[in-house]
Amino acid sequence: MESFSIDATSRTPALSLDPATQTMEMAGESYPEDVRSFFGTITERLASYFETNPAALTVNIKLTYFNSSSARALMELLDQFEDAASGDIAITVNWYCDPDDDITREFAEDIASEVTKVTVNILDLDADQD
Amino acid sequence: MQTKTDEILAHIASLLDSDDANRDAVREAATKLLDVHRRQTRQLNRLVRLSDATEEKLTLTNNKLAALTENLARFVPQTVVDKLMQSGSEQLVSKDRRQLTVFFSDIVGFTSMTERLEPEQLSTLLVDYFSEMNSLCEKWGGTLDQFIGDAIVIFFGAPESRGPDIDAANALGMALEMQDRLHGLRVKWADLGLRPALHVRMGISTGYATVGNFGSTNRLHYTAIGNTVNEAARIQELCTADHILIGEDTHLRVRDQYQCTAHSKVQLKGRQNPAQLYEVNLNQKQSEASLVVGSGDGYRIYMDNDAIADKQVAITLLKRALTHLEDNGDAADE
Repeated sequence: MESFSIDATSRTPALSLDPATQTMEMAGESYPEDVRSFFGTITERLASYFETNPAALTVNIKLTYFNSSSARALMELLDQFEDAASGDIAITVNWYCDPDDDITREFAEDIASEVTKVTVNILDLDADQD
Repeated sequence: MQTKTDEILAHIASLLDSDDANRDAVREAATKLLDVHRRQTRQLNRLVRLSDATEEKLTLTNNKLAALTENLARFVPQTVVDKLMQSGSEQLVSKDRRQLTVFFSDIVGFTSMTERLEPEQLSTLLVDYFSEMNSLCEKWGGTLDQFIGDAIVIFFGAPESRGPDIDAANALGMALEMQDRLHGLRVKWADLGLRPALHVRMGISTGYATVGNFGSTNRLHYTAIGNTVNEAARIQELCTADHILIGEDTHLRVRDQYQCTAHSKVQLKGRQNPAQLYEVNLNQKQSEASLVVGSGDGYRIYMDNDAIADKQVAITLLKRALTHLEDNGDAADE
């Protein structure tokens, strides 16, 4: 499977999935006009990736803003990770939050409490800038 | 994109449709559906919490923005704040060539006043003076350009204009009310022991100027630049205390509404011939309610209801104008 990436737009985050490094990254703001289509693409790519039986996937989420529809899509994405992690794929989600953004942090913590197979690390967005 | 719920529902539907659906398979599918339902309920609650938190944050941000806008209006003219709120950041860099009426005032003998008054007294006096003048500026729709020491610069015609005639008339109306208000303020200040009395010279000029936000990329000031501004300052210098002196172009626009007396002729920079200045007769007030003023291509209206001697003649004339206008309008519509 080849690597995949989409540039950020004013309404959608930058996206990348690299099978070689076993990493996925999502960075920017997310309030797409068509949430289903945007996140549907990610879900399909991930499904193709998981079908290759990889050993692991590290997901870096660096969203500075997301709307309610994106929040719902993120929760579905976490479900997909949880299902994949129930197999033999080691999945780690590094969720980078702005230290001043309590809302995103609480949402990430809430989601983290839901999953059992996926490792979720909640980190400061600044920590990645060094 | 089919969700997990869709998949389970489709599976249950197919089980129910089949004749040989066994109880265990239905139970297993129903259990899965229950799990998904529970998970979705948790997700829904999470979304509601997220939505509430976002709404709360938005309310806080809106309150901060409202407070900021209120404070901003103390530093930038309210007319400019309103325009910025409507148009966004592109308004910050735009500049226009506009016909403006510029008002310039200065306190007579301010330097000696600063020497005779205690700093606290001077501060009280100036805050009172500038606040009163600023409120009259807002009342008449002027844009407060700046305070330069004890001088006040106000212009009419930008960012919003009501037409050059009305802009000029409003500048004059404001100046007259300012002088009138100062008369009352002097009595108040004398009662407070604030002496010597404060007297002000006022100059008004009408003409073209470039108006917009000038300055560096980091610090901008909404102001007017051009000869008209310099002329207003120069005319003010020639004015006597407690009076209002206006330029020729301003006089042309307000002479039907305000009584003025010819003053001196003066050579102003950039003009070939000496310009006639006019002194505005004090103690005249224009009630806006009695006035109908406006102009455009093909018409110019000035009507002061209080000053009409023969109303029947005026009514006949206006009716004739209205008939002409409506007839032409109908013809244009056909």
